[in-house]
Amino acid sequence: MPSNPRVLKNVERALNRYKGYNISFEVRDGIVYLYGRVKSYDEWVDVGLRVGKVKGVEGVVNKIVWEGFPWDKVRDREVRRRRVYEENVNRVIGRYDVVVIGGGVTGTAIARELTKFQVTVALVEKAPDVAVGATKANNGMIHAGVEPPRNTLKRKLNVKGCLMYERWAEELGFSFKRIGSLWLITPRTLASFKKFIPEPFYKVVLKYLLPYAIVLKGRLNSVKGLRVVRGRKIFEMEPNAVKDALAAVYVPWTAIVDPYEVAIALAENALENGAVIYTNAEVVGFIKEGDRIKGVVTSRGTLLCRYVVNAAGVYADEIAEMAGSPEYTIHPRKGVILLFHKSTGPLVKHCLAEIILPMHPRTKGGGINPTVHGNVMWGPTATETEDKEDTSVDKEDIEILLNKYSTILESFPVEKLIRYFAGVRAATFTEDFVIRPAKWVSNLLHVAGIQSPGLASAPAIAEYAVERLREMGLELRERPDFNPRRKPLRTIRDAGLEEIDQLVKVDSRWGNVVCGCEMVTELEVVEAIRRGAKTLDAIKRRTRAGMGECQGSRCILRLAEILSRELGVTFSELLKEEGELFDGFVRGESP
Amino acid sequence: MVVIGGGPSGLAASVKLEEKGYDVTILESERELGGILMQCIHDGFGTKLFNEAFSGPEFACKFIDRVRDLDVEYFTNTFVKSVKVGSSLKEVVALNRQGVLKLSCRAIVFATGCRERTPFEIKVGGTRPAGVYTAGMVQRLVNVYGVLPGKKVLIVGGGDVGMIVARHLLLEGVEEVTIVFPEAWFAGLARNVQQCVLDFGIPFKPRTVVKEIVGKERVDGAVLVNVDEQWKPIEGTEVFHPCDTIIFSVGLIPNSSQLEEMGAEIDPRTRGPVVNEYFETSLKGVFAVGNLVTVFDYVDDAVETAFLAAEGVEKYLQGEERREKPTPLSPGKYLRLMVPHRVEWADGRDVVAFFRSSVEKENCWIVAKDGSGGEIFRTLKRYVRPTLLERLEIHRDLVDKAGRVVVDAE
Amino acid sequence: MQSEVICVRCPKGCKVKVAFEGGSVTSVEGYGCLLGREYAVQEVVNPQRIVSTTVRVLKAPYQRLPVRTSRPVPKDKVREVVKALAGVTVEAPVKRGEVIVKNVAGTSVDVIAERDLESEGG
Repeated sequence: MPSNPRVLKNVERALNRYKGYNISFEVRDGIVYLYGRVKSYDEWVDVGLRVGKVKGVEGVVNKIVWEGFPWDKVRDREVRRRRVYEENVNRVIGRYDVVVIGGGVTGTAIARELTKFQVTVALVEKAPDVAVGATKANNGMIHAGVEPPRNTLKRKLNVKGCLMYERWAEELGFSFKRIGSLWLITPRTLASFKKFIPEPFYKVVLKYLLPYAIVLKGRLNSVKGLRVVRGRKIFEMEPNAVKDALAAVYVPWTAIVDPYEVAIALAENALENGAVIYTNAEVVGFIKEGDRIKGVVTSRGTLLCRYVVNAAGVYADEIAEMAGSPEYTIHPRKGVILLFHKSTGPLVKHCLAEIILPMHPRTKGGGINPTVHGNVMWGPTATETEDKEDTSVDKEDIEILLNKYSTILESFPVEKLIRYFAGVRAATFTEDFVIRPAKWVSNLLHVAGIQSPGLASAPAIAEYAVERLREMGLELRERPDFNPRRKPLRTIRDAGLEEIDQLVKVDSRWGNVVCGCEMVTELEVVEAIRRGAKTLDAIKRRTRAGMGECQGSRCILRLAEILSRELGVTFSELLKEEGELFDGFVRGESP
Repeated sequence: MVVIGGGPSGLAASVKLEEKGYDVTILESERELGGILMQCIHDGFGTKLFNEAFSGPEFACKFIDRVRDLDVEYFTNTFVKSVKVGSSLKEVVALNRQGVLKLSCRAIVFATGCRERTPFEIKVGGTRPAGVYTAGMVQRLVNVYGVLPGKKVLIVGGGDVGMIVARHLLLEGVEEVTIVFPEAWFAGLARNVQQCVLDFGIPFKPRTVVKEIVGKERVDGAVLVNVDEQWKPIEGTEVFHPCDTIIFSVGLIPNSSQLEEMGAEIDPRTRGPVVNEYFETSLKGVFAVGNLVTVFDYVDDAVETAFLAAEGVEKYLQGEERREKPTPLSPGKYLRLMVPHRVEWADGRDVVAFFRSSVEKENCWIVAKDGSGGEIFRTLKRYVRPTLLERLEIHRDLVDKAGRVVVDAE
Repeated sequence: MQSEVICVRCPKGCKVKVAFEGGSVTSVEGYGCLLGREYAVQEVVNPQRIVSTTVRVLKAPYQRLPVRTSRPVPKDKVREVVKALAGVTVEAPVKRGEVIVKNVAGTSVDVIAERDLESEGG
């Protein structure tokens, strides 16, 4: 397709700032390919974002290199992929109608959605467990859809997906609370603009103008029910809110879930309905015939297929390129989250944020929210990072969060911080979800750029993606025997004493508490392993063992003992997530 | 009587109470009695109490034997789910492989010990791959399971536990051990410095902390950084230290969550419960002993608190008279912490207190003053150090005269 | 010849300098008290250590049995003692104080069990 001359001109204009640089570009069917050299990674991101904003640009593939570009790493990766490809290309291990790449909440949701129909489905995940990428390092917030720009796909799917959660939670048996959010407006909200606003108007703007502007924004985005709250009402709703809050916008639809519980529930339900999940299966290439993919080559063998869904998160761009349809580049954006002890739970009732304009570049979108398990989270931050797996946390990140959010609540025991972690969002330069058939591969569906609000949108993304597959020619006949229900892992945490006593009488393992912080019993751990947990972290995600104040220092060996017994392996072979937990035996004496 | 926790302090309290004729039940969460001592296989326990150096298991067995001789009831592998405190009767709900246990009792002794401070609590940056552990956990891994954590080990913290674990690891087969700590010198006992570190030529770096843990699946190493006297990192001194295991030995914290939930007052300094001179918490009839109150250096001292609590239980059950207003005991400017926190009973033995100084000083006067600054008592300590918990006895009649007592180093 | 010893008798940790010639101590400096002097001399003339470690145990609820030397052994024998215990396997039940290895590494010191260990299920 010939390129739109307007797009060409606008891209050129967007690159104005980099005139002295040797940057060139071409446009193919709405996709801009950038080439050349910049000085730093930050510039690389900046160029991409500038071009991504141009109207008519459907995707940016940023082939520019920056000074210090990790050529060695790229080459090593290529060499390794080629080797693994050669080892596995002739080893066919299955044949499926659809292969979904990626076991995050998006991939598992699509796989589960597909099992409603008479098609065979496989999901491939490179890690030993599902839900280990951005899905596990998420704050679990289900946004209502006020924030995304109006004409975006993510706005549409966010608003729809958010409202689908009751049904999902009910069917899939995961914890879900629609607690609503409260966005506080305080004297700090417009502090940077104070000099432009005459004093008498400042409070009026804060108390009356701004909240309604936000309500209006919600309405334009089709989010109904937003309400302005003022005065005592704020503190009736949120007793611990900062005392100088002038007004607040209440968003009733905001909800919270445990993100990995959602993905694990989806995966379990998909399995029950006949999907096959290959873990430890990294995609290293494709077998193609013309413009069609015939097989997905993974580190565990080749899966022949008719359709492929690329839900590979931060690796979606590499998968797209391997498949022969590079249409976007992911620029990973890291988010750091602080987790506080359960005793802080009662101090926070809603998902809270203080509106500060302009937004701080590293904390935009974040806030304070309770978790479904009764903890409190602060975050996330937003930092561009070169490394797709950069889950490191700087002390600076912690300090930024502690400072930034300290003005949301009147008081909060920040010393109850028990953990912090980082996740990497899979942002594209167009900053919208990319869910569409590949332009140059006829049976590949992109489900890429699923950054925030990806979790909130997941139910809608799954339906939308399956609809696209249907348009691409996949015949979908409903399965009469589809079972939408998944039994949650039973726990005695909130059970009555008589119930617990009866359980123990049936199976004494219910009486063996292995994690005291979170009250997890041996039977739950065994059941998690039976359902597919093969690593310590997989057990942790399913049972919460090790998630309390001691962060596992008291239960890790008990868990290791159960895991080694159930899997029939020695301590030395146990994994945390992907790395080995221990190494060898005392004086070389194996047990 | 219910004693929660079957470590040395819990056992000591149980034995004393049973000897006094009370009916005691011990609830222990591990699979055997003895607590943390069962994994502390090195010697040096009991020098104060028995005038002899035992290993941890040997010391614990002294009390376990006594528990067996006296036929004290105990449940192992038993998790305490909740404790309800009524005005006179208390109810403990516990859970084990036999089912739910409901125990009504007249007094409770909490002896739940302490837990290890995690790397998160000291805000170490970087990632959290496999290979990041706490020292106590590794001690158990090596001494109970016979498994090694890795080959090249970095130990963070210059206290006793860190040094002892370093020696064990080296003797048991790891290839390389290095110790880093923020102080100018080891915080632990000189004995351990000599016998655990210097004897084996283990390399160590004072005034050094871990800035970042590096590694994705397994630890690749740590970014070390030098710190100044205030433990502030000195920019530009970062070095990469390759290793596959990082073991944190950065302090112990009382396991007081359950007491806190029950509404017991907590001392922010010790992070344990506030107690009176017989180690009774702010909840009447609920006692707290051992490392749960504050972290002890010597098990002998922890055991003493258990003996005191046993006497306190007796006073409580006999309804002995309390003071109209308790006399507060508090640490002064140069003390980091002190227990107990108040004198509450009308009569009794002299007050046994434990404190940690915030300064290091030779031949240091410890002075107790009353509310108006008048000196009521002084004693000379040969050497005080922040890392050493000191014991102090104050005559009860001196306390009686003062409205409050503030103890400080001079 | 001169050695420096860190005194372990109290938390102060004095650095004591001990000079000796032909097996007899000629001078001791830097000690803070007589206990410290005594310790430093012992440490230079004949340093000794208790060795604690574990051995493999079968039919017990745990994999390892903690053991130690019944008396201190010469410091330079510590590693040898541990090495000599490699491969030693005992069977539960074990009694505290029970001799696990006699005259370990030619030190004429025995290695004893630190605890009772009942046999699994027993």
